[in-house]
Amino acid sequence: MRNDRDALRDRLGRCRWRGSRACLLVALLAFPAAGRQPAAEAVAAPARPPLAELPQPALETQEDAVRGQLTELRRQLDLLIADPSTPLPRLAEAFGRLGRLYFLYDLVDLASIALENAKLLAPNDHRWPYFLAAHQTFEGQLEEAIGNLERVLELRPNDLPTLVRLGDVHSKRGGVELAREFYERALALDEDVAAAHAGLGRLDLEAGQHQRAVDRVERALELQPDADELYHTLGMAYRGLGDVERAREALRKNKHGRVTFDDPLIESLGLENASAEAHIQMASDAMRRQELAKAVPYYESYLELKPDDVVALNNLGIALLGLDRWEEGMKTLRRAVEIDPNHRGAQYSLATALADLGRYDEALEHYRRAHEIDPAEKVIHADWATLLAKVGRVDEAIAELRSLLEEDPLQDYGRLKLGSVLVEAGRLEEAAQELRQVADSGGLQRPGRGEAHYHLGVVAERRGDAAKAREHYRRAIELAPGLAEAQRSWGVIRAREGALEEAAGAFARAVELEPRNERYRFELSMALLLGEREAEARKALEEALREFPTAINLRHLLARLLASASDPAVRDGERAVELAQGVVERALTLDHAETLAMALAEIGRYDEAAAWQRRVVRQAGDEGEAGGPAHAARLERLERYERGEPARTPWRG
Amino acid sequence: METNATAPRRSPIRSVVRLAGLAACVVAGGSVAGLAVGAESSSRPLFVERAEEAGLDFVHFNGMVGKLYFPEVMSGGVAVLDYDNDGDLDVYLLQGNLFEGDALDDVVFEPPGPLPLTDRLYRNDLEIGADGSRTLRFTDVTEQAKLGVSGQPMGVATGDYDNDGFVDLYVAGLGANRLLRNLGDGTFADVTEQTASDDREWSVAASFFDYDRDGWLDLFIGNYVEFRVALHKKCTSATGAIEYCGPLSYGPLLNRLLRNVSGERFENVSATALLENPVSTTLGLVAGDFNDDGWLDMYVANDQLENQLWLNQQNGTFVDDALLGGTAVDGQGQPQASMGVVAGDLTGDGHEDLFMTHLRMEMNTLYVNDGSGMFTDQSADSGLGRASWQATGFGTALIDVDNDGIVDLYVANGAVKRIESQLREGSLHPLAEPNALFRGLGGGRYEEVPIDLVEGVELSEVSRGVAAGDLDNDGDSDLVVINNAGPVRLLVNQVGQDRPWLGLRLLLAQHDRDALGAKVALHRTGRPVQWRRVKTDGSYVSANDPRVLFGLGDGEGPGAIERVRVRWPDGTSEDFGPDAVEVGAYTTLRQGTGTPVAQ
Repeated sequence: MRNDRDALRDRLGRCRWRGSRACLLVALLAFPAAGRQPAAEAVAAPARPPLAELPQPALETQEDAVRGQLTELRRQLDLLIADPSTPLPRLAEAFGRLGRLYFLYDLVDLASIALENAKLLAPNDHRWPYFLAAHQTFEGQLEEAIGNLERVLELRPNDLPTLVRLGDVHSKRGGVELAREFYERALALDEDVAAAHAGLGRLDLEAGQHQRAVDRVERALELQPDADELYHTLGMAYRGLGDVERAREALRKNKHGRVTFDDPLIESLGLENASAEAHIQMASDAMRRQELAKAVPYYESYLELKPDDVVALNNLGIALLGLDRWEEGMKTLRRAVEIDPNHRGAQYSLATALADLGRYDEALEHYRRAHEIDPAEKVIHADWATLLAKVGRVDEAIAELRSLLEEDPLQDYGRLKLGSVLVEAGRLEEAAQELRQVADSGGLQRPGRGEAHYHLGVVAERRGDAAKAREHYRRAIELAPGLAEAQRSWGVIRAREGALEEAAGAFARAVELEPRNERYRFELSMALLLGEREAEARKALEEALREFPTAINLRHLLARLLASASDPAVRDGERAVELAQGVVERALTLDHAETLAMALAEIGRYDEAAAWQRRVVRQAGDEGEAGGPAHAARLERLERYERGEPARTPWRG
Repeated sequence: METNATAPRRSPIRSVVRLAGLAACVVAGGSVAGLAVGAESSSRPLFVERAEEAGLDFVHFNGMVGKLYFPEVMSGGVAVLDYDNDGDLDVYLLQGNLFEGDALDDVVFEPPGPLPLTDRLYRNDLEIGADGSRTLRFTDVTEQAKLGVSGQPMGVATGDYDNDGFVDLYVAGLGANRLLRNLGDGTFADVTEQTASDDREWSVAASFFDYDRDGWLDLFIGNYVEFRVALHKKCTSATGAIEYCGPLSYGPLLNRLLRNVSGERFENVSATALLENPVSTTLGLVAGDFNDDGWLDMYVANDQLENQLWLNQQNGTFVDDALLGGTAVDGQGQPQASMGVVAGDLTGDGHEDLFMTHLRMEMNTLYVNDGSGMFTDQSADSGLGRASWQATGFGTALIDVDNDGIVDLYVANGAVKRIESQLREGSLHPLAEPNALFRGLGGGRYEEVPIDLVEGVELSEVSRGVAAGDLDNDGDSDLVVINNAGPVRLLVNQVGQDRPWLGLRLLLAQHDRDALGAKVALHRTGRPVQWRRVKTDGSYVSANDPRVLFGLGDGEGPGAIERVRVRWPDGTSEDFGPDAVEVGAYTTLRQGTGTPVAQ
């Protein structure tokens, strides 16, 4: 389930190099103070058991810091070995410490020997069988790993990480019942261990217990939302239940984030990694996998070793911005630019971030600087020009983009930007011409072509060609599923066509991509409500209001749902009245007034409800609505209130 | 010349799984004449390594100079094909070269000849003695055949793209790819340009298959990552030591589908035929009919990215349904480092399953098909997963080693990150890992068995490609394993021929072309139906024998055969009665000569 080395690298975020590297090494090399083992020191050392010979690793190619670290630890170990009076626990500690480092550095057979020696010398120290088991699991030696984990349990019967690991190892070797037993023991100790729920979910899936698997995995995902590898199990479970639509939706969400559990011994290893190269490599790997949250601590650790590395600062800044940690991200990028004002990437990143924050003037300045540094870089040029359009300098922007395309007619990124600027400028014919080229050329990757289709959809909509717009939006979300506005547009199209479930799915993806977009949240809630998924609609609205507590349209929609849902578990008349009164106070419209009437009816205040509804009907009639279906629905509700019945159709009519 | 002469290293798991050889596991009581698979053969090796003795003196050169270029550890392609139509399989081997800008003085291993090195074609001059004994002899006919592909070739596909009855070669590589047309007179001509079949990316895999049923073999090209010497990156290990990069250090690439236009040229239809074609890191390709609708699909194995299952929509387009199909990622939801891949009925339930090899610390994966294109990951339960934990698999072959009717699996292993213990021992190419053989037990269960070879040779090398085929035409599958920066190995099967077998070559109605994609089912009285697919693709960077072999197990004679049913690539089906085939020999079945089966 969990790759130990990944885990410890993942947890490098907790690694903070508070002092200098030298200080850390000193700390690492320090053996437990003699005072901690007075008894062992005071008496004659017991006979030393026969130990396996530990070969010297090949250190020639290692980074200096690692070589120094390993060499020094080995030297100290050899001194202790040579001294027959060395107490066994101290010798065990020395072997164990080296074994842990060998494990950390993938020196696999050496790790095994060193840790075995440590275990032999200190049979009651749970750490050595635990590290051995982690190492053996990693090496596929599952039976041996089980033996060691069972030894840990003898020493620490309720050790949670050991129970989870035993579940994982038994699961890997096909020992379903034993795996289940250990996961359940872990949950008996702490019912919030995502890894144990996940393990049980996978076992349920293998056993064909699909609904149970769904329940387990959903629980695990609640506990650890970033463990999105579990969406695979969830998708397979839905597939097993025959619900292909939900299966596909779940499978799409798998971004390969792993399930983890608190594992202090393994996590502590991160502190001991002395390799700057390893840190930057792990950071780069995480960035490539788009795992920004994992990349950040790696970069931070690396920058503590090499604080002026502009490339690392730039990448860290990008990662922080991607995680919505704007303040830290901006600070990091400014630091990068300060260290090297001629670093194109840092200038560009800073410009892009400033543009996203709406600080257009500053952004334009940094784009200009980045363009000066590298005039041949087309993306910078194109983004600069696009921002010019955004600040109203449309003609200037178009001229820049056209000049860029004159230099390089195959520059599809520039053409895409030109197309989007032309759309905004209302020059639809020209826009369509440019965008079609981008969509058809294959010069850009899928997201770029998807964006071109999105803009073509906008062009088609503005021209009133709904069929063409539909086709472009469909292609846009296929090619660029990460483009929130395309998802939203597709959702609108599908909602109009009555495919409310699909529409809700599209809006949900838009929300997932841009959680801070109020409109997406409203549209998602509305699609759920119209699709009669009232409980989900309520949940979506409650979440939206947490994000936007004063948004009147969200408050109004929730009020209406709480007042008139057909599901009694969803209704809450008192809260509906409170919300609706607030809404009416802020803006008295026909819909708002009608919602207040619904809410009043729900709590049995039919006279007041009828009075409000009469006002609504009268006003609507004055506005020329009489005779239409909406007016009929209002009249029907009025009759219900007059009969002493509440409304039960939140949005019909 | 120095090869990767590292001390054999047998993994602990393999050490404890030293079971008796396959032959010893055969059910006792095989009293039918000719079944010498009993006590006598229990001490007999499964394979004998005979490359050098047979004249296959090829030694692969990977161009390494200590810079740890990523491609240098990925190469080593091989094809077995009958290029001269003399009825036996010849061997074609791809050779590496120095990388751009590197000097001969810096090489770690001496090249086996003057640079630039080229591919080699070895003609099979099989000798069959009066007593039926078979002696394999190979002659290097590269120059005679007017071959000589240089550069950095990686993988090879075989197929008769122009339907002239002579098998052609497609060589995929770093830089230019080559389509080498077999002119039928023992020579080849490079027709890449005139057929528009090139791809300038780093191509590793290729597969010929007729996806649109027009009778012409189309070409799927699997591209890996964007690498040029100028883009070479410095990667490091956990200790900060310089190490080979992985695929994600470079940009992934788009795969290509080339439609064959009447055997004259190829048309790139990727944009229109592969709907939502994502960038990939493809190392393995295998065509098959995974949803059993009669149309050929394509499975794409990607290195550390999600795999793809391109389902043929029967209208010239494909849709990737790997996510829902359960073959995009492993059972944990993680993409794996997929290398080689084979398709076939690994569980004996009649459906086309998938097996693929992976990186060390990832299980090799068995995806079991329910017949509709929906798969489940049964790597752990099958016994194939755990046993592969400690090695990096590349080439793989789905063969019935002992002709007991249950398919077995061979896996060619070799690491991609330097193994510290081998570095410590002074190895110059510290990537050696033992190859592995998994014996099919039936019902989708497998166990690892030792690959017994004569004279204690242990295949612990840096193996890459493996091609399967009956090189000595004795009715069992032999193997050619190519080692990166090492010698080629020829593993001659010693046990399969002792059981009855049925060999078939399937040809199209109009042409003397192997009917790649045809599905052949053998119906026997009281026995489950066995089926095979005519194909040369699968494995890693390798091309296999297009003929199909059925091991008939113990106690079976020709009378037990009821019929052979063939579903041809154009969708038609025919039955061939027991008189149309001969046990213990290869028979050619031509489309149109059987009894049509109503659809």
